[in-house]
Amino acid sequence: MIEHLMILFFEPSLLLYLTGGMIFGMYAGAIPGISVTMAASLIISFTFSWSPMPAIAAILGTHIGGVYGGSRSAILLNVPGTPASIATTFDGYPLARRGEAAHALTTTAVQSVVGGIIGALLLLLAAPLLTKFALLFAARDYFFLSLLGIFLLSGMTGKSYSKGMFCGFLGMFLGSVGMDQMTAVKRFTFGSIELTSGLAAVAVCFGMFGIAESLNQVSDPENVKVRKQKLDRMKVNWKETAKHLPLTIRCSLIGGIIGALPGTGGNIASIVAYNYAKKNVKNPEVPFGEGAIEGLVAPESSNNAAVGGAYVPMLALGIPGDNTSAILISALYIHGVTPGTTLLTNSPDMYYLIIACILIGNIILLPVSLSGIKIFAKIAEVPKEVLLPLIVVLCVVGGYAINKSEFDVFVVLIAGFFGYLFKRHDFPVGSIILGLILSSLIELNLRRALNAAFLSIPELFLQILTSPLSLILFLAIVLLTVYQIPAVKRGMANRKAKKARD
Amino acid sequence: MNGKVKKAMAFLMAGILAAGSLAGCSSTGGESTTAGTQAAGSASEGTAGGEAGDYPNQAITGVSTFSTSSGTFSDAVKICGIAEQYLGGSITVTDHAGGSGAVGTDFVYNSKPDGYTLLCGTDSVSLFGVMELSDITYDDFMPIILAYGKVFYLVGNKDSKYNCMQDLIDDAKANPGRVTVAITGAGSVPAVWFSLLSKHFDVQFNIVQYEGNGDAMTALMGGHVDAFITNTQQSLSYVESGDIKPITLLFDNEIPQLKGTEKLSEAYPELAQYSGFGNFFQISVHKDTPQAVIDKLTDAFMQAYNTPEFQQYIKDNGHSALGLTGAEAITYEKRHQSIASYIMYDVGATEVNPADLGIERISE
Repeated sequence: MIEHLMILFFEPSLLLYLTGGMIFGMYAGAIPGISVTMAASLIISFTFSWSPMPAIAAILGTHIGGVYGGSRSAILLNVPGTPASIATTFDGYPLARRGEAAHALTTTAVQSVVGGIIGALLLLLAAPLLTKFALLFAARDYFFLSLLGIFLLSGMTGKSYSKGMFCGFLGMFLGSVGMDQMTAVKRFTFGSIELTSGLAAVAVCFGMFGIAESLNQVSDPENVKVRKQKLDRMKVNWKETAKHLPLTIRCSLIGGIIGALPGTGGNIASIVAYNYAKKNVKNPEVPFGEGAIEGLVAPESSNNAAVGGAYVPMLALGIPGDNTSAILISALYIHGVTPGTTLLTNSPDMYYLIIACILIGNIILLPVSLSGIKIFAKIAEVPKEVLLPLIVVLCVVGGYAINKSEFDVFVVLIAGFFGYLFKRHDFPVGSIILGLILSSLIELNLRRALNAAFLSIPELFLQILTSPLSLILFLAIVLLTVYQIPAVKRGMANRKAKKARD
Repeated sequence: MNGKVKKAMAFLMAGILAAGSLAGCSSTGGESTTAGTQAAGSASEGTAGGEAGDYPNQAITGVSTFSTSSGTFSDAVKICGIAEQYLGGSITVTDHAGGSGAVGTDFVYNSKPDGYTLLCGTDSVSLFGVMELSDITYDDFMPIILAYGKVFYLVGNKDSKYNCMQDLIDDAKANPGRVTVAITGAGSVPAVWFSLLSKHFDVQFNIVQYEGNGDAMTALMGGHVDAFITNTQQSLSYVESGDIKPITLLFDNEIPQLKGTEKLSEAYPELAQYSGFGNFFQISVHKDTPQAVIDKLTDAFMQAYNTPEFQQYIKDNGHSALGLTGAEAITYEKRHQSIASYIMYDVGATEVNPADLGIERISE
C-alpha cells in the first residue's frame, strides 16, 4: 500500500500536473461564474489525449483547488464562488469589511488544508466502513438529512426563523420547476423548452448573491466607501490554528461523513458544520455572523474534508459522491479504466494514485492557497464603482457559460432583481439557493420513501421507528422545529435566565 | 467625487457592461465552443455549399445531449477524439443537457445544417413524441454512425432469493405490489422493461424511481430494493466482485462475465421479439446537411469505429457493437422507437397514441 501511495514521488511529473490543476481550479473557483464542475469538465476535454495518470492528477488537483477557491469570492465579494461556500460568506465577508480580508483568507487556506488532509485520511483508512454506513441510508434518510440542511440554515441566518423557512421553501418551489423526473410531467414551464430542464441553481446563485449584492451596495452610499485592508496579518497564525484544532477535527469529520453519502457533499456539510460550531463554541471573540473566526473554521474545514469523502463511494463502488467525482468517473471510462468494486484489484495503481493525489494534493494546497493572498486582499480595496460592475459582468458571463444559453442570463438578472428586494427586507437568500439545490433530493427521496412504504403513512412511520438512523434524523428535525416555536423559545430563555440567577 | 456621482457611475457602468455582455451572448449563441478549447474557429460563415472539398475548414462542435458526467458525454469525447484524426479537423464536445435530451437535440436541429454541429445523442429521441417532449423525430436527422447498444440485464443484490426470472414473477404473484423494483426515470430502459414484464406476466411491482444507475445500484446493494435492470457498462465490476447477482440477461449477446446467466429469449421465447431493447449511442447531423459532407463524416466515423482502440473501448464496457449507418441505422432507430412508444402507451404512462404520430407497431 505504502509503495503505491509513493507513486507521486517516483513520478515527479505527476506532482506538476496535480499542482497545475490545483492552481487552475483555485482561480476558476474564485471567479464567480466558473464552478468546480465546469472547471473539471474543461480539464477533461483538455487532457483527452494525455495518458491516464497525468489526466487524473490534473482533474483531482482542479477539484481540490476549486473547492478552496470558492471561499475567496465568498470572503471578498460576498458571492460564494461555489455553493459549498455559502456558509463562508456569513463570517468571511464581515471580516473583509472590517479590513481583515488577509487574515480571513489565510485562516481559510489553513483550515482547508487541515480539513482536506483529514478527509483524505478518512478515505485511506475508513473507506470500507464509511461505504457500509452510506449503504445504510435509505430514501427516507436522504429526505430527512437534506431537509435538516434547510432547517439548520434557516435557523442560523437572518433575523427571523420564519423568513429563513420561507426562503427555504421558496427555493424548493423554484427547484420544482421543470420536467418531473419521475413522471415526465412538465411543471411551471409555461411551454418553454428552456424551463423543461429547470432553473439552473448556479444562475440563481449568481443573481441572488452577485447582482443583488451589487445593487444593494450601490443603493447605500455609505457602503461605496472601501476599507483599507490590514496586510500585516497574512502570516499563518499557528497558535490560532492550534486553538481551533479540536473544532477543525470535528467539523472535518462531519464533512468527510456527509461527503461520503452519494448526492450530498460540501454544500450540506458546510452548513451542518457551521451550525455545529455556532451551537458548541461558547465564547467566540466576535459573535457569529459578525466576523467570527470559528465561523470560517467550520465551513472551510468541512467542505474540503467532503472532497475526500466524495471519493469514498467512488473508489469503493464506482458511485460518485458529488458532481466533480462524477466527472472523474467519466474521465476514467475515457481512459479505459473501469471504476467500481474491482478498481482496487484490476488497477491498484490508479486506486492509490487517486488517494495519493488527494492526500498529497491537500498538502501542496498550503503553499498554493497562501499564494496571491496579498493581491486578492487588494480586491477588497478596489473602488466599488469599478468592482461592482465587474461583479455584474462576471455573473452575467458566468450565467451564460452554464449552458451557453441566453436564457440563463435572464435568470441571473431576474434573480438579481428579486434577490435585491429580499436582501432589503432581511430575507436570507442563502436559504433560497440551498432549497433550490436540495429540492430534487428532498422531493424525489420523499416520493421514493413513500413508494418503499407501499404508499402508506403508518408503514412509513413503522419503518422510521424500526431504523435507528431514521429515528435519529427524524427526532433531530422534530426537536429543531419545536425549539423554534416562539412560546418554547421564550420558555427556554426564561429557564436559562432563572438558572443564571440562582 | 461625492457619493451620488459615484453611485450614478457605478449604475451606468454596470448597465452598459451588462447590456454589452447580453449582446455578445446573442451574437455567439449559435456556435458554442467550450472556453478552454484551442481552435475555436473563426466564424459561423462557413462555406456550407454543396461542395465538401474544403470541409472541414473550421472547428466542429459535437453536442452531447446529456451532462458532462454522463456516459453519453464520455462516449462522445472518445469517438470524436479518434474521428478527428481521420477527418482532418478538430471536434470539440460540449454539453447541452436537459429535457431528457430534448434541449440538446433541439439545439442541433436549429443550428445551421452545414456539418459543423454534430448531435452526439442516444435513443432518447424515441420517446420525444409520446412523452410530448419535442416535435423532433428521427426523420429530422441523418445518422452518421450508430455505434453500439448498451446491454441490459436483471439483477438482485448479493443475497437475493431470486435465481431466475420465474422466482421474481412468483414472488410478485404471491405478494402483489410488495416486491420493490428500481427504475431510473420515466421512459428509461428499466422502466420500459418492468412495464413490459408486469404486463406480460400480469403482476404488480412496487416501483421506486432513482435518478440514475449509480443511485439505483446503491439502493440495490444497500438492500432497499429487490431487483433492478442495469446495463453492463456501469455494473460488470459488481458482478465480478460478487456485490450483485445477475438474474436474467435481456439480450442475446455473449458476455463473458455473465456466463451461465439465464437468457430471456431462451426462457421465454414469446418475449424474444423484445430481446435487445436498450440504449444506444449515435452521432447524427441535420437531415439537410449536404450529402458530400455526410459521406465525409460517415467515412471518418466508420474508420474511427473500426480502430482497435474504439473496439477495445466497446469491449471493456461490455457493450454490444453495432456500427450501423445510413438505412440500417434508421431501421434500428425505428424499431427502438416503436417498442418504447407502444409499451409506454399500453401501460398508460402516456395518453398519446403512437399511431397518431405515424409510429408503426412492430409485428408480433
